[in-house]
Amino acid sequence: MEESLTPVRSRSRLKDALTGAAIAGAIMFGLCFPILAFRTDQNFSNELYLLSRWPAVAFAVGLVFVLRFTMLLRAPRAARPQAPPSPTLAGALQRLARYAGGAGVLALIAFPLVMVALLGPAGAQKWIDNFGIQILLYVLLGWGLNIVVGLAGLLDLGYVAFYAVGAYAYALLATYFGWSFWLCLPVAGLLAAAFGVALGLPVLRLRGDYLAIVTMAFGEIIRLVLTNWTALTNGDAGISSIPRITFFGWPFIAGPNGFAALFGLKFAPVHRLIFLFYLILALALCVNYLTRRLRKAPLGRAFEALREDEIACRSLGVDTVATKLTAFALGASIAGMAGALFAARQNFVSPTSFTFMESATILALVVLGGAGSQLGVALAAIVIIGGSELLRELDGLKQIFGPAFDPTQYRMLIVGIAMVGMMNWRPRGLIALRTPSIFLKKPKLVVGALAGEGRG
Amino acid sequence: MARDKAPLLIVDQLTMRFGGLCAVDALDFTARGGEITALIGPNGAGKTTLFNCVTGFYRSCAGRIALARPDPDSPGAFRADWREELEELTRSTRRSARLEGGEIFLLERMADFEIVKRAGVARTFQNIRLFRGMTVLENLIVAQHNRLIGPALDLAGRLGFGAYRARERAAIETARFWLDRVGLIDRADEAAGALPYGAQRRLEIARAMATAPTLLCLDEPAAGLNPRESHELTALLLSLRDDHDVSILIIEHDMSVVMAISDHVVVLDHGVKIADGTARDIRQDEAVIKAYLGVADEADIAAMGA
Ligand SMILES: Nc1ncnc2c1ncn2[C@@H]1O[C@H](COP(=O)(O)OP(=O)(O)O)[C@@H](O)[C@H]1O
Ligand SMILES: [Mg+2]
Repeated sequence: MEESLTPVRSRSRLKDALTGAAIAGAIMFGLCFPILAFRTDQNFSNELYLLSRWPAVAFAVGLVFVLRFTMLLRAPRAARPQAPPSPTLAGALQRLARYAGGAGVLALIAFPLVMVALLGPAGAQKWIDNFGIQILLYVLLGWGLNIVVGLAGLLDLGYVAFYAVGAYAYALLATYFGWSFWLCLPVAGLLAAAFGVALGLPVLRLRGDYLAIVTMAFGEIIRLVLTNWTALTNGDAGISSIPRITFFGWPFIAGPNGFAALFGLKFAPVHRLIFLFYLILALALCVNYLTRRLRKAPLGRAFEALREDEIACRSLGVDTVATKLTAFALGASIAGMAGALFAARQNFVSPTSFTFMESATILALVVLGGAGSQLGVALAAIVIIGGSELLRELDGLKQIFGPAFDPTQYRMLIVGIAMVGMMNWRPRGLIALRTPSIFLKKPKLVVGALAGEGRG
Repeated sequence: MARDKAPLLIVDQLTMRFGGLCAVDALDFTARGGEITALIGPNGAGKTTLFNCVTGFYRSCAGRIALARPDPDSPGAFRADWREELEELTRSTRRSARLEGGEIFLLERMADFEIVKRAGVARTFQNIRLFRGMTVLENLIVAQHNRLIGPALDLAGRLGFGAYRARERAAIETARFWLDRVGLIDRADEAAGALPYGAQRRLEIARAMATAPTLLCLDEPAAGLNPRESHELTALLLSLRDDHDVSILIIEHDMSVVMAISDHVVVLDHGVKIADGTARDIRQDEAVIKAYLGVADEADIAAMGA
C-alpha cells in the first residue's frame, strides 16, 4: 500500500511545486514590472527617453521561480512540529553564550590596538571609526531599545527621536554655552528621558499596532521640528563645528597642551577615535550590566510581566503606568547618551541622520537578535551594521559586474533577504531562549515560543 | 452557617452599562469576612462584569463598592459594624479611611493596582492569565512586586542591591510556601505556559495568594478540571478560608463545588440579583430553578446537588 502511493504523492507534489513556483513568479513579475522593467534616462539633448530592461525582469522572475520551486519540492508536506531544543543543547548554547560574551568583550577591547598595530595610526582610523564606533553605537542603541521592546514589549517605532534629542542636546549646549562633553552626556540622557516620559504619557493606553504608529509619528515630529526650527537648529544645514571631545580637558591636538603631549606620544588623529571607542564601549558595558541587574530586580521582572500579560500585571498590583513610563524613560536616556556620543564623533548633526530608517534599523537589530537577549542584539548589530559597512569595501566586484555596479546600493536588499530568511528559520531571533531571572533549584531556559511578544 | 461575621465587601446599587446593555443592574449584596461567597447565574448574567468592577478593571456607572480590611496583625480589633464610618467616607472625596484595627476603602474610587496593593483584593481570570514565558517561580515573585520594590527612595533596592536581598529571600519563601500548598513546588523552574491546564489553574490561585489578599476573587476556577482536580480545589479553597484567613468570592458553574464550599450564595440573572442566601436556601428557591436552569428539568435540578 505504502509503496504504491509514493509515486502518486511525489507527482502531485511536483505539480503543486510547479503551480506554487508559477504563482510566486507571477507575483514577482507584478512587482518587477513597475520597478524594474522601465527606466527613464536623459540623452545628450536633455530629452527623457524610456529604457526597457526586460532581461533584468526575466532574471528576477526566473530566480524567484527556481528558488520557490526548490523550496516547495524540499519542504515536507505537514508543517514540521517545532521541537523544543533539548536540555543539553540549551545548556550548551547557554554556556557558549557566556563564553561568547566574555570573548566578545576581550575582542572589543583589543580591537583598536590590533588595528593600529596592523595598519598603523592612519590606516586604522577608518576601521576604528566606520566599524568599531559605528557598530558600538548601534549596539548601545539596540540595548536601549531592547529594554523597551524586548523586555517591556512596547513596540516603539520612533526610538530615533531620543537619539536625535541627545545629539542636538550636546550639539546645542556645547556650541552655544560651551558646556563640556562630560556635563552634556548626563544632561542629554536626562533630557531624552524627559522626552520619553512626554511620549509615554499620551500613549499609555495604546497597545500594539496603535502604539507603533503613534511612536513612529512622534519620531517624525521630532525630525520635522529639528528641520523647521531653523532659528535654533539651523534646519537641514545642521549644526557643524561642534566642539570635539577632550580627554578630561586635554584636547586631542598636536602641541604642548594636547593629549599626545600629556602621555609623551606622537600626535595622531586616531587617538581621539580610540578614546571615543573605549568611551562608548565603557558606556555600553555599563548599560549591559545595569540591564542584567534590572532583569533580576522587581522593576525588570515587572517589565517582562508587562510584556507577557498587562492585565495580569494590574491584577497583581503592578502600577503599569509607572512601569511603562520607566521603560520609556530608561530606553530613551540610553538613546540620548548615544546621541551625545554620536554628535561628539561627527562634530556635525543634521536632521537627515534621524530618519525613520534609523528607527527601523535599530528595531531590526532587536528583532533579529532575539527580543530580550543582550548577546543576540550585539551579534545582530555586528552582522547587520558591520555587514553593510563591509559592502562598501567590496569595490572589487566592479570588475565582475561592470563599473556602474555599486555594492552599497544592494545593502537594504541584502538586509531584507536576511530578515526574511531569519524570520523563516529562527522566527524568535538569533537567541530565542529566555534565561529565568530567578530559580529554586536549576535555571531552565524558556523556549522563546512561550514568551509573549507584548501587545502594549 | 452563622451570619454574625463582620461584612467585608458591601456592594450597593452597583450598575454597569455597556451602551444599551445593562450588564449589572442596581445590584446589592454583602460578602462577609471569613466566608466563601458564591456568585452563580447563567452565562451572560454579569458575574465577570461584577468582578471587573470590584477589582477596578471597569469603572462602574453608578453605585458603591466598599471593602473593609482588618489589620493582619490584630485581627480581632476591627469593629463588626462600619456602616456609619462608610457613610462618612462616602460623603467625603477620600478613597479610604482608617478605623481602629483596620481600614475601609471605596473601591470604585481606586485604580486597579491600588485595589490589590492597598485594599488587598486579588483575583484570577475566567481565561487563565499567567505570565506564560516566565517560570512558575517568577510568576509568584511578580505577584509580590509591591513588597519587593520597597520604599520609593530605595534606589539601590530598585536595582537589586542592599536591603533588596532580604526582601527577595522572604519573597522566595512565600513563593515556596504557596507552591508547596498547590503541589507545584517540583515544577517551580518550568515555564508557566508549559504546565498542564489543571496546574495552570492552581498556579493562578497560588499567584493571587502570593499578594497576601484579604479577599480572593476566583472566576470559574473549576472550569475544565477533572473530578479529582475539582475535589482537590474544593479542599484547597476550604483550607484557604479556614487556615489562611482569606475570604473568597467565587464564580462557579460546577454546582458540586458551589454546594460543597459556599457559606453564602448570590444568584444573578441578566444583571439582577434574584436570590441571596445559604446554599441550602438557594437549592430550593423557585425563582433560581426557573431562571438558572431555564425550564425546571428534573435532571438539571438533580445536577444542582439536590
Ligand atoms: N467590555 C464589554 N463590552 C461590552 N459588553 C460587555 C463587556 N463585558 C461584558 N459585556 C456584556 O455584559 C454581559 C455580562 O457579561 P459577563 O459579565 O461576562 O457574564 P458572565 O456572567 O457570564 O460572566 C454580557 O451580555 C456581555 O456580552
Ligand atoms: Mg464570566
